Amino acid sequence: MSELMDQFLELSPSPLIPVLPDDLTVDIVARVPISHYPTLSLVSKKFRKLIASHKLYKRRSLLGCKEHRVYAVLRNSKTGEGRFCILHRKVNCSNRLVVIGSIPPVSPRGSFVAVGSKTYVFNDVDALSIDCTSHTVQPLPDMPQRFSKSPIPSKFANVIDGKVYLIGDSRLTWDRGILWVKTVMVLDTETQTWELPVMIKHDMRVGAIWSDSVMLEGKIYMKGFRNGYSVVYGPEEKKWESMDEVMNSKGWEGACVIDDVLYYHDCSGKALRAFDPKQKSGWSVVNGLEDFLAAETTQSKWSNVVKCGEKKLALFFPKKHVICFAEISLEMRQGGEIWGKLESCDVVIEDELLDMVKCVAVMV
Amino acid sequence: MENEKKMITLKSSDDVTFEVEEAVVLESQFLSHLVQDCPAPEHKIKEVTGKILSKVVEYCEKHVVVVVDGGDSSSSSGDDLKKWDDKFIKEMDLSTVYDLIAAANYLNIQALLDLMCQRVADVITACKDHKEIRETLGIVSDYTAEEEAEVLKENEWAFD
Repeated sequence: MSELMDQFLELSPSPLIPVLPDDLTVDIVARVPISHYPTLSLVSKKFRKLIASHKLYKRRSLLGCKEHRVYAVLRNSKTGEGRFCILHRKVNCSNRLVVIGSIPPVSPRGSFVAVGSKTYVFNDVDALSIDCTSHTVQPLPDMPQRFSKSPIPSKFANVIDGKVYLIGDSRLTWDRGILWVKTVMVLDTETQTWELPVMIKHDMRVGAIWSDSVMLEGKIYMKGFRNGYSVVYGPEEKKWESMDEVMNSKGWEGACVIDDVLYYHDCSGKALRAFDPKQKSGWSVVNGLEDFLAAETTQSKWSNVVKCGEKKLALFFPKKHVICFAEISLEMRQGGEIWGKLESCDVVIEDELLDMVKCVAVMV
Repeated sequence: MENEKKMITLKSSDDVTFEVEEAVVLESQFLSHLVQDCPAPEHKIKEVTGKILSKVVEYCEKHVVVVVDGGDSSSSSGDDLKKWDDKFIKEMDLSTVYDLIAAANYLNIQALLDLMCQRVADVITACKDHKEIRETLGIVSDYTAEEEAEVLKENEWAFD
């Protein structure tokens, strides 16, 4: 559809802005913050078409105007339904998490990963991608293997160089019955095709329940709820390793990686913890947030962090009947010390039935 | 060295002349080629008026000086230039901005074009709603009330 819109723009006789050639208007609109695009869509039909065109997002990329946009999957604990929500960042207003009505409900048991301006969603067999410039959904080819069906996270998706690595246990049917094996499935997002799945390691324990997974320095770290299950996969050599003991010593979940450092909010410890593989000590606490975390996150049973800008971290945590979002700037000081500064903190959604499954940040 | 600076005269569409150093002209890719290909002392620029050309010359003179002086490129010179740019565009009305965009595009002065496009983007960003954007940019809406309501619904999340 967007290709057609690009063509339409070129054929249309009246300019977007009177007196300016459209090509220059595209340059101008590319520089406007993405949060203003819904308003721009209302200006005229041609503006609406521009906002929906590939051309505009290519130009944003070319001009270095791309921004992080944060999305979250919220699960309704009553209906079990998952909804895709956007963190709407309004200038001079408090931030809000808003359900995107045009995107159908998603399975909260799926795995979610951001690749460029899209979010990829992997269910048990079927997969789809959500274009975060237009908020439209496209189906992807089915996965080559079925992952274990479980109400708890049984697989995780990570992205390295445009390839999504989906790791979990999958079902293999053979003449003596069904076997569960550790499986790596790779989706090339360029060609939208699945590579032949790698099913390996007979001596590896299957049936792991993962608490989280991240990509750090080109390797995929799968953190098991039980430490013994934690593994590391190096896609380049297709090699499995056991996780570094220090890294495995903390029960990290809802984590993210910013500049090759892993961050997670330790709810019970009331600290934002960081793991830097380059530092001898490994784990450290992000300084400067002690008072805020002690005051605001005492009731939080879960939390999620995601990168939301250059050296910026978004922290989502629940309070009584609401979900809050805090924006934290990070500063690396000499000797590996990390300092955090609270930029803002808002209640972003008020509904006691909702909890957060996952948050992702795309670039648009 | 001072004496060796080559001077070039630029003449606007309404015959206003500007005498500038060659280095200033080189800020414009279009003029660089023109000066190289045709070594006349005076060049007429039919597409740009005197009012706009004076702004272009002012901008290029400021930017060329900094590049030459700032061989040691201290960060303050960059900051000063940014301050100067901010002041340069601050009180400019949109029609002048549009003319400067057209001129910078024609003369191929990328930094000036970027600055002016950013200025219009900032004006759009400062508008409180779509009606103000229309008014500011002189756009007449071609939506019917129903169509507008439909677009509003499509982007419902943004207008809660």
